[in-house]
Amino acid sequence: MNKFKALMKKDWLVNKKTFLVPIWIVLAFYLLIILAAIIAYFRGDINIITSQFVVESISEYDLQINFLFHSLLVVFPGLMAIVFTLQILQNALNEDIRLNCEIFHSSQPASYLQRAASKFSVGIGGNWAIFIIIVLFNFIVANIILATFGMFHFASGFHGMFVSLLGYLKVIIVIGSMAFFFSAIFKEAAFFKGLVIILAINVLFSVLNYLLSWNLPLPFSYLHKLVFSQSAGTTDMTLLSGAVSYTDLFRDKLNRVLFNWQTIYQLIFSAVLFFIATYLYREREIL
Amino acid sequence: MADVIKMKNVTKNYGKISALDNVSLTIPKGRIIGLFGKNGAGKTTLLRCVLGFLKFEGDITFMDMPITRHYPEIHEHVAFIPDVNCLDGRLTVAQTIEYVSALNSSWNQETAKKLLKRSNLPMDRKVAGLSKGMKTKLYLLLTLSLDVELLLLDEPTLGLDLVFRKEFFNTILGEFYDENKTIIISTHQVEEVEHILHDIIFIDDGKIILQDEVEKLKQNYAIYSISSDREEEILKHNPMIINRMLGKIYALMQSDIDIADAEVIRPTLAELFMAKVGGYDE
Repeated sequence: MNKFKALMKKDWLVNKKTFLVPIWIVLAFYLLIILAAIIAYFRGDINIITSQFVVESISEYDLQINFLFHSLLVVFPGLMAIVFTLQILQNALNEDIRLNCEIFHSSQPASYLQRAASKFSVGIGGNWAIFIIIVLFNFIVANIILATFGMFHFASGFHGMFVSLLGYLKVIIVIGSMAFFFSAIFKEAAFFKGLVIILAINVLFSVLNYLLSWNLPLPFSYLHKLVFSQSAGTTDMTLLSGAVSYTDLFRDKLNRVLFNWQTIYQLIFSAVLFFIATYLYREREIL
Repeated sequence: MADVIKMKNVTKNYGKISALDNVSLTIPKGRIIGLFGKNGAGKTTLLRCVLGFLKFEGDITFMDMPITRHYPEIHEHVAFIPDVNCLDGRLTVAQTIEYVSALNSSWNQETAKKLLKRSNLPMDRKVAGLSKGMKTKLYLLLTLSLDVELLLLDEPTLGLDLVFRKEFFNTILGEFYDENKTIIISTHQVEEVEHILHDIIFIDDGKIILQDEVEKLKQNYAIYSISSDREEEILKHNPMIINRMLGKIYALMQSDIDIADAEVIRPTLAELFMAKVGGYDE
């Protein structure tokens, strides 16, 4: 366990700069907004009288809007987290080779499973942690602003954010495990090369299906279904008909995002890719 | 004496190029062994096959454990120093020491403290920002703090200046070696390690061309020096190397040859290496 902790600490330290980039992006974004607001205030472009917008009471419909607003609040940090997970995990098994230190790390008495598990879990966990920090920060900022207008409702906002967050955490695992798997096969631009191969298979199967009237499964449609279809990114708008409460919306979303077979498939898919990648990593020659 | 490493008919090919060609050898415990060969002779490949880093044909056992692939657990018993530039430049000195100490159960904190005190290493500096000399000190500290049975050095002092090279080998000898430990040094700088070696292995074109004890080897060969006008006397004994300098001829030959009035000098390992492997023989 101590070995695994040491490996994880090392993997965190060597990737720290990349992990922290999303935080700097978000801070820069906020700084720009603040600067724009200050300039606009002094130019007299904005003349907000908050009392004009203060809501006397919050309706069920407002809660649903609040729920969805907080779901959307997660989208930008979520996309950033996916990009940075790809960046780190597609290099996970090759970065040491590129930096000429693979032999140093391989000369330590730590098993390949431990080393791969550390790289994978830090790649996923580190991005998760940064993603969660950013989302919580956004949540606090957004709710301070909403509270100014009397539209603060913690439960609906938190539930909206929470469900969306879970969806992205799952997407990060699946896409991260694909990047990790490809990094065991390709030394550079691993994820891109992997996607090109899947695309080529997809095109080949499509052509065969068309020409020979076969019914071969298309990898892209399977991956799309696996990664996205049940995620929090899609919302059944019929739920907004007014006939349901935000708590129904929350339960529905939670069931669609977390408590279902798709989650199990995603975890199995990720675990299989992780173990294949670890096996391939172990079988590599260390030159 | 127990054998630390046994290699039997080991062959390693890179495509059509044979890096090791049917190599068989045994490395006994408690010896300091020099592995010498020209660039591309197969020294690095041999060491990396021993560690299982490379796939090979044949049989290798390390302390009676068959090596069929890389088993990380063997690093509890063997420390490996390749070129010092292979440290992870993204970590600081302190982080590197902490990392290696946490992973190795053979880590000796007392030795580490002692070496650290002597080294003046900047603990908070990234390894990438260290000079090559500092990196060498760090690598030595990491390796010598491990209580292992075998130390493999693969061109460890490449690119270092003379002072650091001397310090490197003196530290290895002073801090690491005892009669229960084995050291294999692969290097080009034959003359710098000559005085610490017990045995030598010459490798050329992937083949072991000589494995012997240094003392025995030096007794078996001698350099005969006579004036140039007696060259014929030397040539009839088929010398391995001839050098002509300042009106004299220097010839490396078997030491049991008798040449009247010849000055007999003990050869250096570098001269024996050149004689066996070739380079400037006429």
